[in-house]
Amino acid sequence: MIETGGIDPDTWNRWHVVGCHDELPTDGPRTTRLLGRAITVARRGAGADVRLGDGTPLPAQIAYGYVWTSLGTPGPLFELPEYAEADRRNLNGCSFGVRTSPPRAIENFLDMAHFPFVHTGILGEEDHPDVKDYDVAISADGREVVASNCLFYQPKAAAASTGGAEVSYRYRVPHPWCAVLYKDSPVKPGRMDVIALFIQPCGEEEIIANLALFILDDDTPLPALRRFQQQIFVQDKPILENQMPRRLPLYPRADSPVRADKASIAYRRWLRQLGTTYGVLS
Amino acid sequence: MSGAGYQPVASSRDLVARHVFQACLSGQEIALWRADDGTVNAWENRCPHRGVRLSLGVNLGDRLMCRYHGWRYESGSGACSHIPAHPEGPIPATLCARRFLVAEAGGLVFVALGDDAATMPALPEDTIPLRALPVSRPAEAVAAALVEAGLAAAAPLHFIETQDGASIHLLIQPATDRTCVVHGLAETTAGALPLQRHMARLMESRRRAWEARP
Repeated sequence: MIETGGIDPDTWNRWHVVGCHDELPTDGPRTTRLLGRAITVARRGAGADVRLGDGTPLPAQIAYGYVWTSLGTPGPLFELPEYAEADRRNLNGCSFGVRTSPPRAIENFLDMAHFPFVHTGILGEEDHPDVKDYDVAISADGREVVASNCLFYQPKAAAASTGGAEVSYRYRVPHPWCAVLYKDSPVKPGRMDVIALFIQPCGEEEIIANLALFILDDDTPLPALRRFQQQIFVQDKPILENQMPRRLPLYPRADSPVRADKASIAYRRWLRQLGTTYGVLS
Repeated sequence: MSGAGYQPVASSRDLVARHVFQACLSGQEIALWRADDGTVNAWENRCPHRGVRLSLGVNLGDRLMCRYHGWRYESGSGACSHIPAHPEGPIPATLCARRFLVAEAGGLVFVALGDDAATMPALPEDTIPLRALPVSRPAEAVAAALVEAGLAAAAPLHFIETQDGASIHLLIQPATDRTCVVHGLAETTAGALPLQRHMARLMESRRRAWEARP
């Protein structure tokens, strides 16, 4: 039994991502941090061995190309069936350390209104800043937040895009620190690319953000795919690191949300339902 | 620190055209910017929408635009006047950058964090600014050291001394609870440059001594 140090039960008993499996070193364990504790992650063939700094073994599983572990007693990890679809390319787009809390990064991922100002000329344009109404709900079983029917004009929606397009988006938040985006594939009409943000909560104000791609694009070379994701993420990083306070405020009237912020309002309500206190201000 | 009156937070020269300057007073971060008409704005360094520092924003001359979602806030009133995600409005009337009282005198910018009737430090008419000196010591410790050195205190964080025949005003800005900035103004008609150099050297050596204390 590991001392929880006051970490809320939902956070304590979740699976948390601790790195991309393909990127683990082959010559020994990698040292990293989870929920304020030092841990080691070592490759074991197709699996991994995860331990606390003092050698205590932790549960480990490989899912969606990443290593997941838990300090408590985890239930099943959320489903991501697209990972198993034969025609998708699955890869880690990029992993960045960011000085912010896990939920600030998730909220930014759910936000379309910043595209014209932060990702100018790529995911948005200052001439097309309006956010049309979309639907958002906490699922009936309370296990995830879903935002759907999101439409946004994007000059270059993906590495494979050849021009601007009105792109439709759907978001799932199946884990407090993981969000999944489904967006129109520029290559295969009628199908959707899947881009996920898996946050490793190193500390309450210290994360590693992993952008996972499960995409329908056989042609774009790997470096170009990675460069596209990195280009977008380095635009988000200074915003995330300049949000005050770093922890996400859940108390009323902390911020001034507008209609475009429906997804964030639902996400904050869901965190309150889960009883999450890690990385937030209650 | 309500009731402390106006305290220095920057040199007027820090507020160059179309810039947003980040200052800190008693731990409160402030976004300082000068509009094209000369108005100086001192706002909480945090967009009311999502908390991004306004010092990352764009000074548009008469409005400040937040870097995150392009929300615009008017010089003077601080009122939000444009939300690009919803160009047709309406904008809640209460949506406003949080403002602090601000004034300029003697080449320095002063802010009062409390909203009670704040008083300005008494300063001479004609002064030249000296180089501002950040110090890794609390304002109170620097004030105590200046008292110890025999300087006359005009106020708890305002001292007067004479150097090279010129009267020097030292005003201490409590930045955080562990750091401060000493702003200097010299009342002089004599050669400004030699005096500024002399004061820069003197203040450097004082800082070394202050920071060496346990």
